[in-house]
Amino acid sequence: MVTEMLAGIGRRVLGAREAAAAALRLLIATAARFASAPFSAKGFRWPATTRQMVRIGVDSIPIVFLIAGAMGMIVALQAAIQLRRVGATIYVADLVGVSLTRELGPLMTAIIIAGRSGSAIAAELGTMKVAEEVDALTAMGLDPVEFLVLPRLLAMGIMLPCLTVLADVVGMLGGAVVASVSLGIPMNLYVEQTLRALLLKDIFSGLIKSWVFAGIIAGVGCYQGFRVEGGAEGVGRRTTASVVAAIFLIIAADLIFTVIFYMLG
Amino acid sequence: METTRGAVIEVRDLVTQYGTRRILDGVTFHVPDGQITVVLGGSGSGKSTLLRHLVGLQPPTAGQILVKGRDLTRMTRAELAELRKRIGILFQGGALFNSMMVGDNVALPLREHTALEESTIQIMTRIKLQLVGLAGFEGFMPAQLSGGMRKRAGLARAMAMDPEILFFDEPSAGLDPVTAAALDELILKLKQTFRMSILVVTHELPSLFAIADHVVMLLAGKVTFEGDLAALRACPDPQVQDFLARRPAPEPGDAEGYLRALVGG
Repeated sequence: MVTEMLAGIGRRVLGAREAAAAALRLLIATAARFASAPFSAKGFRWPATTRQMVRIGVDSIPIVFLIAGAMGMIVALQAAIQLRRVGATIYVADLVGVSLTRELGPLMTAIIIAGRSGSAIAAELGTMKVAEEVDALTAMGLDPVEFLVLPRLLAMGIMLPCLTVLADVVGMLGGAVVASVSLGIPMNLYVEQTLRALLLKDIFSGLIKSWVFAGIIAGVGCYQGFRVEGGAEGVGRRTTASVVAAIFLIIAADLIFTVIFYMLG
Repeated sequence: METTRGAVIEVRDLVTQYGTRRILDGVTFHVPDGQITVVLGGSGSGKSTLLRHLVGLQPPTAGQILVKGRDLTRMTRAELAELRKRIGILFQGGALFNSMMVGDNVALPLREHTALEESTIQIMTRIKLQLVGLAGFEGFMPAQLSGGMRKRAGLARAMAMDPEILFFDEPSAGLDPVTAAALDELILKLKQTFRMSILVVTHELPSLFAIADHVVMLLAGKVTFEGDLAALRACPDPQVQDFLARRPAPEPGDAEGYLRALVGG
């Protein structure tokens, strides 16, 4: 019985090691392709990248808009409850502004996009792998990383920061609406207060985070997609795994960032 | 390197192992130039793995694969890339890229590997599609085609760069007898018109008898037979004769073992 348990643990460890090796291979291949792309004949493949940018970015605008707006309102209301006690409700603007740009904007947007586009990437690439399309690319002398991974990675890296900025702005607008409706703070005063409270480094730290999140979402999606085996069931399993893994890594990265930024002041 | 005269591909002592399982156990055979070689074998015989090795999609555990005298397993990236431009593969199901139209699928190798003008590429695409009986289907998406048409489109794509060696992975799979016969006719026509070497992996007997010049039979990872059709029919090996006669292998009568399995060991 004990041997069975140990064997099970051993199998899991070996499996995890193999998975980590595969992930590292993909990472190195992507980095190499990224570095060599400016010098290669076709460059960065902008038509494919632009298509991905539309699907990841433009198509996500409505849902980011809605969720960010709701988030802004929620934060504003929660803040108002506490700040009302000390009669400092004007600082709702500060709280909403800073917490959105530094934390909630990048985090929420990344989680939404991980669920929406991260899963789509895994499903697409997984379905292609099952249909031997990835093998066909390789057998034709074309590089799947160049063709499939890089456009998605680039598109994610360009669009996620844009969506994050959108989320920040819409969130602050949501906060403004709450402030004006239930706290009686006029819009222009709210906006002024927000601008006064926001520092450039708040916005930048949020954007740096969203870049890292973009890498995580695209990377996990592509990795899981390429690992699909066994038909439709395999695609489903890996798609789910990509969302779960991406969200987990996003939050872990966020924790690391928060600690770093805290130590840097 | 000394090679069998007139052989475009030579496989020597190929071994592939996953853990303790030997998928291919010392496979040795040759593929004659300008002829149709059929690799025959049942499910689990290792023929799909063999095909993946021959086109460079997977390195074997041991052995040599000489393509026109050069060892595939020892080629550099650049040499492999060059080789891939001169071979074509039709995967099971066609493996067309579902995100592109049929015409773009066929044109892809030309657009990537040559510096030809777009108008020339369009003409060449039309020629290849005409060759496989899909003239006028450039603008269709793969999902709009039937299974047989998808395979033919995949063949047109495999032929785009005028390959010297053409590989077919179970071309009759999923096709009705009439369509399968038409595909066999097409394969014969290709050999006669273009003098290319063709390797077909299959287990369909009607196709075998229609097209094969040279036959290699794989059973459980070993070469059971190599020669022409006449020698195949005359082969005294009972396994070969069972295969040709579609006779199931006799079930080993093990009453004790059966009882044990029922009672649960």
